[in-house]
Amino acid sequence: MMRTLALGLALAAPLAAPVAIADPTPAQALLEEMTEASQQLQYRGRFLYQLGGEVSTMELSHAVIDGKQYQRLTHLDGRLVEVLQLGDEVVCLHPNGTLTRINDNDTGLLAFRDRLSSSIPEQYNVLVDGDGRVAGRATTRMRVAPLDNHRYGYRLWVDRDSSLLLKSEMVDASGLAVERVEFVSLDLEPGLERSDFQLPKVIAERSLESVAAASPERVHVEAGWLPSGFEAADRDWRRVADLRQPVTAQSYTDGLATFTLFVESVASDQVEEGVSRVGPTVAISRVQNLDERVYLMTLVGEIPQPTAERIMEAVAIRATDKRQ
Amino acid sequence: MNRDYEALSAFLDGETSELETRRVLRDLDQADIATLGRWQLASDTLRGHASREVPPAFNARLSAALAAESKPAKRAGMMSGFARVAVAASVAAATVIGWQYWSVPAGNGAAAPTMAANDGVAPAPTGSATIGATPVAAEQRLTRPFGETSLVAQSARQGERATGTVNTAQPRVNAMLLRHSEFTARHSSQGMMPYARLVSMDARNGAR
Repeated sequence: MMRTLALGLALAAPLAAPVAIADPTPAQALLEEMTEASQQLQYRGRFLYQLGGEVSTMELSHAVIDGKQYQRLTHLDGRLVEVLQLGDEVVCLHPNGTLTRINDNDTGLLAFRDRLSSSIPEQYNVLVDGDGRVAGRATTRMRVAPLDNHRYGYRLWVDRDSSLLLKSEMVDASGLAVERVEFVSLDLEPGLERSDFQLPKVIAERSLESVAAASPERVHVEAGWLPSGFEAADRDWRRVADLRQPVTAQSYTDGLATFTLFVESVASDQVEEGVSRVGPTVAISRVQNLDERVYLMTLVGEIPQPTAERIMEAVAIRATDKRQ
Repeated sequence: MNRDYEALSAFLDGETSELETRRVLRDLDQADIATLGRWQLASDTLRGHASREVPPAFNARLSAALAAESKPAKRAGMMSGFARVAVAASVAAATVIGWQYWSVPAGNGAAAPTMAANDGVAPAPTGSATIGATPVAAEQRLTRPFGETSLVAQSARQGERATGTVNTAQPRVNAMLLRHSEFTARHSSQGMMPYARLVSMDARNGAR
C-alpha cells in the first residue's frame, strides 16, 4: 500500500498540485469516493460505449429509492436492449422482446464486496495521473496498471465535483483500449422516481432460477491454477426455467477483473469447443468427461486470452455425490 | 534507455518474480513499451492468439513494425522468415474477432493449427503473403463475429460447420453472459460497466 501512496503522490504532485495537496492518499481516496458516488448518487447520463471496434450509445439512470439501488441501462441505437437493476433483482430485456430475470438474494456476499472496495488489489498500481475533461466537466485522471500479464489495466476519468466515473478505458498489455465508456452528458438532478424503473411490456419472460443445492446431479468446478490474487467469489447452480439443464457457475475475481466458469452436462454429439473474443471478454469452451458423462466447461471473463486458456487447462470438475 | 531485452522478454513471458516485475515496470521507457507491444503481438500470433482487437491503422503499423524489426536482435529469431509470414497471415485471417476450433489436445492450445495453416504459405514472399495466406488460414480457423457465435454454438463437433444453430444457442449464452455480468457487477467495483458490456453484446446478437 505504501508503494501505491508513494507513487501516487510522486506523480500527482508535479502534474496536478491542486488535486494532490488536499488529499494525503489521492489514489485510494478517489477510488473509494468513486465507488460510493456511483452507488449513492442520483444521476442520469448518456455515454458512448466502444467494444471490439463497434461503438454504441447508451443511457444510464441511477437512483436510491427506499434504501434500494435502482439502475436502468438502455441501448439507444440499433435494437432495444435494457438492463434494469431493481434492488436485488437484475432484469435483462433482450432485443427479441423477451426478458430474463436473475435474483441475487445471497446476502452473505456483502462482506466480500465491502472488503474489495476498501482496498486496491495488490496486483495493481494505482496512480493519479493529472487532469482531464469529459462531458464538459473537469475530471481527475487515474491509471490502474496491472503488475503482471494476467489482467487488464484501466484508465479512469473521475468527475471532480461528484466523484462519478465519467470515462473509463480497459487497456491491454500494449496500451490499446479494448473497451471504452465515455459520458457525453450527465445530469446530477434528474428527479428520478420508482416509475422510471418500470419494466417494459414483453412477449415472454423467463428466469434464471436456483436449483436445490443438494441435488446429486450437481457438479462442482475447481480451478487447478489461478493467477495470483484471484479468489473464488461466488457460486451457484441455476437454470433457465423449464427450458434447459441446470448450469453450475463459479466466479473468480482479483477485485477488479472477473471470470466465471460454467459447467453443464451435455449430450456428447452436441458440443463445439472453441475460443471467442470481443473487446476484453474472452469465452473458451472445452469438453471434459467424468463418470461416463460429458460436461461442457465454458469460461467467460475479462482477462487476457492466454491466461484464460491456462486456467482452462487446469480446471477440474467433480460430482457432488462422490465426496459428500 | 533501458535496453535490457532479457528482462523485458522474461517479463513478457510472465517469468519474472514480483520484484523483477516492479523493476521492469519502473524502468520502462517509451521505446521499451513499443518493443513490448511488438513482442506481445508476435508471441500472441505465434500461439494462435491473434484474434485480438486491432485499430483500423493496425495493418499499416504492423507492416512498419515488421520492417523496423528486421535487424536481428535477441528476440528477433521469432520474427524472421516463416514467423513473419505467420504474423501477417494470422492478423489478416483473424479479423478483429474470431472463432477458432481447438483441433488439438488442450495442452497445445491453438498453436498447432495456426502453424499448420501458415506452413503451407511460408515459401511465399512476405509482401504478398498477407493477402494470399488468408483463405488458407481461414479454412483452419472458422472466423465468425463474436455475437454470432454467441460464445458457444451448441451444435456441431469440430470439423463440421455450424450453421443455422445460432438462434438455439442464444438464450443459453445470454444466460451465461447475464450471470457473468451480474457476478462482475457485484464483485469487481466496475459499476455498471459489466451491464454495458452485456447490453452491447445482446444488441449485436439481436441485430443478426
